[in-house]
Amino acid sequence: MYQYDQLDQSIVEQRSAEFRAQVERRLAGSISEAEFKPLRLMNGLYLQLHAYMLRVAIPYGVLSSKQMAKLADIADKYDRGYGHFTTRQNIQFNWPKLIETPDILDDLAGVQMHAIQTSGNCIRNITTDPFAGAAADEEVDPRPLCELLRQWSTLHPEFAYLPRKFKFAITGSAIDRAAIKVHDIGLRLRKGSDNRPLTDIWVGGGQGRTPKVAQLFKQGVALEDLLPYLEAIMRVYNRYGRRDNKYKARIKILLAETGLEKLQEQVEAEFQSLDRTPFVNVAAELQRITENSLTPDYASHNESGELTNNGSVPHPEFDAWKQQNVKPHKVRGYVIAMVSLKPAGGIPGDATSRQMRELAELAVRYSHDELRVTHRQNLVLPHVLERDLFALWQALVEIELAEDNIDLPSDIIACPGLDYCALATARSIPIAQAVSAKIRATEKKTDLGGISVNISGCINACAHHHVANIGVLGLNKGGVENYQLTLGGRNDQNASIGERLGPGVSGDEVPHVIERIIDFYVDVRDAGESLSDTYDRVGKEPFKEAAYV
Amino acid sequence: MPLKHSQSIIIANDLRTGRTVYLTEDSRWSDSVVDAELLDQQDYAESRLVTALSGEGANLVIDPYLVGIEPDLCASNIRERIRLSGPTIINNARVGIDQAA
Repeated sequence: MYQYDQLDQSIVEQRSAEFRAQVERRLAGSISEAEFKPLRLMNGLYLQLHAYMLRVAIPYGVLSSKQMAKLADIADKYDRGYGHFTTRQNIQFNWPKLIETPDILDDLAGVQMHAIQTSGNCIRNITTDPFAGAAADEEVDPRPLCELLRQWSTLHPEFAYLPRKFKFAITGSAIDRAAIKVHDIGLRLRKGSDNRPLTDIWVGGGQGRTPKVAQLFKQGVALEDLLPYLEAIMRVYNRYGRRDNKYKARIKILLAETGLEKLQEQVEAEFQSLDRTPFVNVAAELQRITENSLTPDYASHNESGELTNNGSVPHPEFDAWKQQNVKPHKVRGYVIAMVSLKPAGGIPGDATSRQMRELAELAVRYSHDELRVTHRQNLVLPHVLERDLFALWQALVEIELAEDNIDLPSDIIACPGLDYCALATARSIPIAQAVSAKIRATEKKTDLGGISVNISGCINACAHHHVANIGVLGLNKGGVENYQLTLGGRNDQNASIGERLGPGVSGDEVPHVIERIIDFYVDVRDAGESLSDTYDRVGKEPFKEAAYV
Repeated sequence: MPLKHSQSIIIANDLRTGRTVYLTEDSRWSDSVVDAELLDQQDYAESRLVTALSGEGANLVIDPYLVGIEPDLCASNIRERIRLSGPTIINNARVGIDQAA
């Protein structure tokens, strides 16, 4: 993983010192809340229902053990002993005090972390495949490009006040685990005929109140042209994106209102005319990033001897975990181990400080000092020797993180919802808890395959309910929480927006409705057919009839 | 003039900590809802809101406003009810839903 150089380090330290001075001025009354609010938001500090919330950037979801341990320390020292991992592969602390936030930022800077651009109308944390650099099916490792884009977009003077927030996602595999088609810009890295990396650029995806699947904007862009081309897209968006209505300000609306062809022409004209001087060293910069990144020394770890389950003693719980949570690695003898943060009846994405600290230790012992955060709010140990898996699983059992439910219906994405969020219209976490508690028993009895259930507490769709196989949207109807369900969404390479099933239901009814949908799917599915495939085949009405009894 | 609800209180966030606080009879800010001054007349409530807004001006609190409450100090809408009592999330999801419903 990338290691900061002196410039990177000085940026986060200076930013922390700057924010400390801003907080001091606010507390002294020299700046008002109206003046301070945009400054704190630029540093990831929100004010929610009960307290401030600090969103810390985890660039493209990659964490070292030391960083994870520091997050655990922050949770204990400044918060309530836990953190919440988010769909942007970040972490949020729900109870920090304003007066202590500068100290938190200093602590983060000490481990090459920050909260810059985790809010505001700027380019947000870039996300990628949580298996990047490890996946067996990967064509191009997206991490050097992610880091290049992080550096390019950090404090970019032209893009600090965009019409609206802007999100990038990148994948280097044909199987899209980064949901690139529901981002403002999605990048698909692949190898060209001469084996050199090329990028397909998708533009205009997004969720919120106007969900859109991105359109293929430009194919086969060489890496040396990519940064100037992205700069051209951003400039055109910055120039023509609407600023009169924040609900129509995302690039997806600009694309819809301008039309694909015309927007492509505008971007092409900008691309042709922009000064390429700042971009001439892109190849060298990618090389520098790669050289500044720690690469796992797979050979040395092949000699380690650990407890293994060699199959002589049957262990069904371990076997079930391995079957569900372990994925193939590009290096023979290694695997990718996924750590579910979705215990049945638990809070999606939450980890206690003890769990974070123990995971940091496990990453040192078993995963070349590295962890990942997934956009489905789980964690990953990306480089684990297969023969260490049993010992790893035993350690995960000890800290209650061995739930074998990755990609099953109880692996629910949920936003903080009305329990924390000032924008929410309904609660989402208690609904997720009730759904996972109810559905877990069915999962253990029946092979359901992958089914995504995402629960958002308002139309902003932070839990990505539009692209879930089963989406749940919490609204407030006449002062009462009411939940709409959608079916048929997907967030992979075949991304699609789910269709509203019927009338909203109460929170109490949601788990029952979801259970009936799944039961119906199990009854009518063809062999190997996913829930969304079944939905496409049989249509809405039979599902609706089954769901509403 | 009577208020829309039989009683109201004034709620805000503490600037330094962000925690929910309540305006008391002696114009302090308390983190306990039982200390909140109960307001049952519109004119008086509005004058107290002016006092509260001066607290914002003095850099003590952020965004003070009136919240209608029931006699048992429970807010009448769910957002404010959660704001008064804290997150409903506990280990038993069923209880969580029932409590705030």
